[in-house]
Parts: sequence; C-alpha cells; structure tokens
Amino acid sequence: MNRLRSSIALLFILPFALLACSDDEATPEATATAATATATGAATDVATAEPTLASGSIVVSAASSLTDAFTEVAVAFEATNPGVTVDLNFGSSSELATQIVEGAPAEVFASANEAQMAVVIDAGVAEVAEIFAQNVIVVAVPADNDSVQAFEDIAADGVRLVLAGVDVPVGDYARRAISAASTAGVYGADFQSRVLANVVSEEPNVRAVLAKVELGEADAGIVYATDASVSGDAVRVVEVPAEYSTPAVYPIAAVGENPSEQALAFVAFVLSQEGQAILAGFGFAAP
Amino acid sequence: MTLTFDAQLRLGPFEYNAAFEADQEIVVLFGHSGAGKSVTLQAIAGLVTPQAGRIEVARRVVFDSVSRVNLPPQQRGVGYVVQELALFPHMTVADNVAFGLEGAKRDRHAQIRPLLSRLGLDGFEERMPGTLSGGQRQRVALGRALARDVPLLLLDEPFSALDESLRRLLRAELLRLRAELGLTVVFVTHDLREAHLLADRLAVFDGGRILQFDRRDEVFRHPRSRRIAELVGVANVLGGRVIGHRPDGVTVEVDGVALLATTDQRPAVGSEVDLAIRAERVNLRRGTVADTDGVNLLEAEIVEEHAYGATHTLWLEPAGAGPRIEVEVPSRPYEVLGVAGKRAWLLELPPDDLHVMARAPESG
Amino acid sequence: MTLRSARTDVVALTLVVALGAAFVAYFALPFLGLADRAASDGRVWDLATDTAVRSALWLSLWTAGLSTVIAVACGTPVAYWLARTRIRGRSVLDALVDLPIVLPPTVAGVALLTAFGGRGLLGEPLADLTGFRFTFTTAAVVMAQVLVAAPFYVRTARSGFAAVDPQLEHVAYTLGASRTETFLRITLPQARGALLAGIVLCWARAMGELGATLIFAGSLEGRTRTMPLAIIDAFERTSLGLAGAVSMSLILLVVALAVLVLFRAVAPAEARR
Repeated sequence: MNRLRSSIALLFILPFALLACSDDEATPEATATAATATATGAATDVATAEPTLASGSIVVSAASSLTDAFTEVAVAFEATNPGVTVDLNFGSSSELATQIVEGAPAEVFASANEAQMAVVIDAGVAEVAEIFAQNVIVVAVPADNDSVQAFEDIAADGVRLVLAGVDVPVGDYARRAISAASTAGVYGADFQSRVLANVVSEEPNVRAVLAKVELGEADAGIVYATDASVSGDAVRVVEVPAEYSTPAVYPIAAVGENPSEQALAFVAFVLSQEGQAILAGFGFAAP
Repeated sequence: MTLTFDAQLRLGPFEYNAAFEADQEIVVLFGHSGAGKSVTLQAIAGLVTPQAGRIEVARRVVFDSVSRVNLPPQQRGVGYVVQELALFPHMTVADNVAFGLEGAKRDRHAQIRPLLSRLGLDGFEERMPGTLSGGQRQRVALGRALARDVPLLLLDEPFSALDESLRRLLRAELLRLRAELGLTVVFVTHDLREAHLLADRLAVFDGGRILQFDRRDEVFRHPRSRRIAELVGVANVLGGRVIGHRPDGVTVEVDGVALLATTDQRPAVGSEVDLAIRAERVNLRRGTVADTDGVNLLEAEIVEEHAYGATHTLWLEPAGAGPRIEVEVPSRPYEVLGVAGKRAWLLELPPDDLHVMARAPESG
Repeated sequence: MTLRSARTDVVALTLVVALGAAFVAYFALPFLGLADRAASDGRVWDLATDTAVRSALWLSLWTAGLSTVIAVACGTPVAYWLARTRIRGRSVLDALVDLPIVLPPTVAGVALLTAFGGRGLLGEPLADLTGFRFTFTTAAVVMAQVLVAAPFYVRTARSGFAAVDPQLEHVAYTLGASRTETFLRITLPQARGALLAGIVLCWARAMGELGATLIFAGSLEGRTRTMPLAIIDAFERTSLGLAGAVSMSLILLVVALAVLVLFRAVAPAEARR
C-alpha cells in the first residue's frame, strides 16, 4: 500500500505546496498527512539536554525530495525543543525560492541545488548557506516495466520519459547528465535530442515525477535515489553512470536579516550528528 | 359523427369514466374545476393516454385500447386551444398562426391571410404576442388552431381570463365561425351562462363522470337528479313524496302541500321524489289562494332579497305549510308589480315547469 | 435594544455595510495586485509574447473550445431528457450529473487515471491491444476538461429546459410538429439564454482546469501545458518566475473579460441574472 499512500499523500500535498504562499494554515495539514504516511513512531533519541529555546513556530521551506527525511527531522527537533513547532512547506526548490523572494514567511530554506539558493541570496533575503547533504540522481522505472534496463534505453523509441521542470533542481541535474552523456558520444551524437523527444511531461517537482512512475503511466522518470527508495517495491532503479551525473548538493540557510533563534537552531540541528543520522537513514550522502 | 369519445383513466387518486359524442355542433363540457373536463380534451388531443376506451375523430380511430391504436398528437388532426393560450412568444402572429402548416414561409403566410382577416387580425402579421391585448391574443390562438382546416376544435376555458364585454364579443365570433366553417367544437367552461349561450348539447361533469349528456334545454329544464339540478343552477329542488297519479302527471306532497307536476314518469305512490323548478319559472301574483284560479298556489312572504340590477332574486317563506321558494324577477316586472312595497305574495308553480326527478342514487 | 427597536436597524445596517465593503475590497485587491505588478515590473510585458505563453494560450483556447463543443453536443439531449422525464430514478441521475461539480479536481484526475490510465479499467486493455495510452496526450487534456466542465453546462441547460412551459410543446405537437421540430423551433429558442449561460460557464471552467489535467495529462509545452499549468510552471522557471505568472494571469483575465462582454451582448437578459 506504500505507493498508493504516497500517491494520495502527494496529491493532497501538491495543491497546498503549489498554493501555499504565506499560508501557515496549510502546512500543518501537509505535515500531518506526511507524518502519518511515513513516520511510524520514528524513534528519535533525545541526546544531551539542549539549552531551552523560547517557544514559537517556524516555517521551513524544503525541497520535495526532503519530504520524508525532513518530516522526521522536524519531529526530532520538536521533541528536543518542546514548545517549538516546525511547519514544513515542501515544493520544488525553484518554486520555493520564488515564494521566498516574493516575501513568503519561510524562516529556513533547504534547497536541492545551489542555483536556487543563489536566487535567494542574490535577492538579499539570505546571507549564508551551508551544504548539509548530497544526493544522486537515478532513473526510476515501474517495477513491472521492462522498457528501460540501462541508462541509454531512455533514448529508445517510444519510451515515455518524465522529467521535472527545467529549473527544478532534479530536472536540471537530469538535463545536465543527459547533455554530458550526449557530448561524450558513447550513446550516439543525437542521444540528447532522442531523449528529449521522449519527454512526455515536465512535472512541477520530483515527487510528481515519482508519482507518474509509481502509477505506471511513465516508462521512466529521473528522480533522486532517496525518492526511489521511498517507493519501495513499486519502483526499480536504473543507475545513471557516475561519469555523467554530478552529485546533487543541498544547501540550507536561515532566511531574513535577523533570523530567529529557532530558525538558527533548526539549521544547526540539521547539520548536527542527529540530523545527519536521520538524513543518512533516508539515503542522503554526507555533505 | 365528427367525434365519438369513450374513455376510462386513472390519474393518481382521480378516477375518470366518460362517454359522449359531437357532430357539427358545439358540445359544452360543464362542471366545477377538477371534475375532469380538461382531461377530456387532453385525451382527445392525444396528450393524455386513457387506460381504456375508444376515440374517433372524423371517422378515424385515434385511440382504441382494444386494438392498441394510439395516434400521437401530431396525427390527430384536431385544433386545441388551452386556457393559457400558449402562444409562441418568440414568433410573430403570422408565424404563430401558420405554425401548423407546411411549405415555404411565403406560401404559408399567404394561406392564412383570409383566416386572419376573418378573425379581424389584418395588419397584425408582424406583431409579437407580448404586444397584443387579451382579446387579440385569444384570436391568434384560435387562428392558430383553425389554420390547419381541422374538423374538430377543442377549447379549454378560452374566455375565462377576459372581461365580460370581451367575452361577449368572442362568444359571438365563435358562433359565427362555427356556422361559417362547419366546425365541431368541444368547449370547456365552468360558467353557467356561457354554457347556456354556446351549447347545442351539454355534458355535465362531476367527479370524473358525465352525469347527464343531452340537448341544452333538456339538461337545464329536466335535470335527471338533484346534483345535476344544483350544478345547472336550478334554485328550487324540493324533496317530497308521491301521493297520487293523474292523467298528465303526479301529485307530490312537499312540506305539507300538494303539488301537481306534469310528467310522463309514474313513480309509485309513496315513493320519494325531487321536484325541480328554476327560479325564473315561478310566477309572482297578487291575491290569495281562495280568490284565485289555478293550481300549485302558495301564499308566502318575502324574507330575503338581492338586487342584481337586471334581475332581483327573492326568497319567499310560505305563511302556512310549504317549502321555501327562490324566485327571480326581472327589473321591469319587479317595478310594475310593485314588489318593493309589498311583502306578501301569491306564488304560482306551473305544473309544466315542475320537473320530477327520481331519488335514485347518482348515475352517469 | 430589542429586535424591534429602531436602533437595531442602524446597527444592522452598519454591520452589513462594513462587512460588505470588506468583502468587495477583498475581491478587488487581487486584481489591483496584478495591475500593480504589471505596472511596476517591465518583464511582465516582455513575457506576454514569450513562445511559452503563446503556446499555452493557444492550447487553452482550442482545448477549452473543443471541450465545450463536446459538452454541448452530448449534454444538450441529456439535459433536455432530465428536464422532461418523470421516471423514478431521475433524482439519482441528477445527482450523477452534478457529482463532478462537487468533486475536487485532483480527485477527478485520479479517477481519470483509474479509468483511462495505463493500468486503468479501460486504459489497460486498450494499451495491451493497441499500445495507445491516453495519459500525456492532448486528448487527455480535453478529457479532463470535459469531465469537470460539462456538468456546468448540463445543469444550466437542464434548468433552462425545465423553465420552458411544457404547454408550448404540447400545443406544437397538436399542430403537427414532430418532437424534433418542436425541440428545435420552440424549446431551444425559449431556452437560449440559459444555454448560452451554460456554455460560458462550461468554457470558463475548462479554461481554468488545473488539478485533473496535471494528474492525468501531465505538463509539456505545446502538447498538454494549458495556461493554468503554464502559470504553475512559471513558478518553477527562474526565467519566467512571478513576472511570467502575472503576465499569463493578465492575459487570461483579458480573455475572460472579453468573453463576459460578448456574453452580455448576445444574451443581455440572461447576463443580468
């Protein structure tokens, strides 16, 4: 039932993520749905007693690929800091960056690539960012679908390929990998054009790409390795040759001229041993 | 016979069973609302399907439950005017009237011109129904129904929404049209005067049944039961007992007085009968019983009076024994007799006008 | 102060005016926001002629148009039958027609997938037999639009037909007009206003359709990316961003206004309702 629940969770999250600009009301539900779908009493060790934070709530905008990991991170953070509520807002990093630049009250921004973080920094809304995780792109394929067995098969005739949008980090990483492979010439000089001709949809974020693959509508979709593992048995993974794919680098920053102490504490928590352990548990690589 | 009609149907709790016919005449269906008159027209037109029966129009069987014939309204060849007229609001007068005809627009409009003329609608061709007066709209509805040269015209209370003067005009026109076109008309109304004016034959409806179907005068002068008498406006229905037979009629005791009634019927002595006499057939005379020649004389006093302008309605109570009688006196005789100044009168109930009705249970 | 006293009216009136003004202001502000952004951000005008924008507009216009045509062609007889029939199952059928209206669009999208998707009730056998799949095609866009928008037409048309006096039709029958002729010459002209209103509603809903399209048809420029999807896409694209989204929103607004004006010209009585 995992893929069905993920799909339904995604469908409920999607409109909220798309429409929630400065909407504090939407995110608790998104949090709740995601939390019930994935967190089954996640055991978080409350390590040493932290200095107590003033109570309050913060909004954290994070890339869609961080959905499951950050949900657990938030639960752990709240357990360590009673009185502080974390409202999670997931979406594609490009969309989140636009929201933040337009004044959405996110206090923390976790992006799936440096380009979108740069958008926020260049707009003067954030100052300093730190890399907190790395990820790897893969080709996800429906478990019962044989049309794609190796990376080069995505260029084959009639393959229905789904990518994320051009400026969505995973979509950007995917296109760079395709371009690199095409330049290398191993699969033919027209590899890139054949692959792009197979694209049937450009989804708004990585989880939407994953959904299309899980539902069997797409023959293949390029997502992160961490997303593919969330889908479990519904999805089979085809590796993208390391020589063509650059690792995905995830920066995090506290937003605003004077970030609140809760926001700074959250960023610190993500970078801490505990936060890193949670991320690793979901398949993210260390920064 | 232009129309033979026989139908039974049930609409929810309402049960209907009626039969009558019409040929080159006006048959009026008369009765209270809900008595079944409109349903009759709908059944003839084919808008309602009876459970059983047979309907023939111009010698064509349009409905027969036995041989499973049920022609749709389109093929019945009758003209139908509903109470609300239902003129097509988005079409001109000419388009409305010519609607039932086939062929090119110009030909159809040419075809109806004489009819429009006859109905006094010259020059109204391009007018829209919304701009017409009540009487004009009536005539358009009539024209529309007649344009197809149908042998049978069904009219459902067509004049009820109009004022009296207009009604008089249109009734006259209808009579003229019928004569000119040789139409058979079935006319529904709950207005007694209208029924009397227009009917050649009259069907009295009550509770989904026809109580009496006869020539108009027969129904009005010789209703067959108390109920029918009430419906056709017979004011005096007197209950009594037969006490003797005579060569030309019977003697009936009513409230202690003996009344002579002319009739061919010979109900048994001792049996209960109703005597009916219309208010306008009772004579008002001066004098007393003792010094007056005549039969069925009653001394009575006026106890109530309504002045209607053209007529006066008086209620008189007998001095001794006898029934209360309603009398209608036109204004001229009222003045000449000097009714205003005198309360005591002699009533004369002419035996020929005293109609004998058996007290049997109602039969249709 | 009781309900009857004169002061109550003053208080009530003040309350009503205040709430009403706030309500109206709430509706005016978003449009003012769009206008303000258009005035201050030059990119809005440049992006209005961007190929992505033009492609999305053209796709929206012709798919919404086609969806409306389908809705009218198939829905008109259904609406007329619903208006005139008296069979006992009618309320169930009415509810079925109304269902897509209360259905959230995302649910409609999921439903379409379960029926016509690659693993769907009809979609799977179709894919096995012919290799053809509805998802990711422009046909899927039209299918999503028809599902969510057609009921708006059918409902409005149904009330329009029901409001036509049946006596007009009955009289037409007695005058020899067939049921088809009566429908075309009497019923349809009488219901014209309602039908036009239904068409406008249906077309507007089809133009605005997002959730079901995204889920069932996907998003690809020129093939499935209608205006609403393009606006979403703009948020993902640094090159378009909010300016692009504002640009497209303004274009859609102008189109909507044009349609409203046209509607008022063609059916003034109905538009006043």
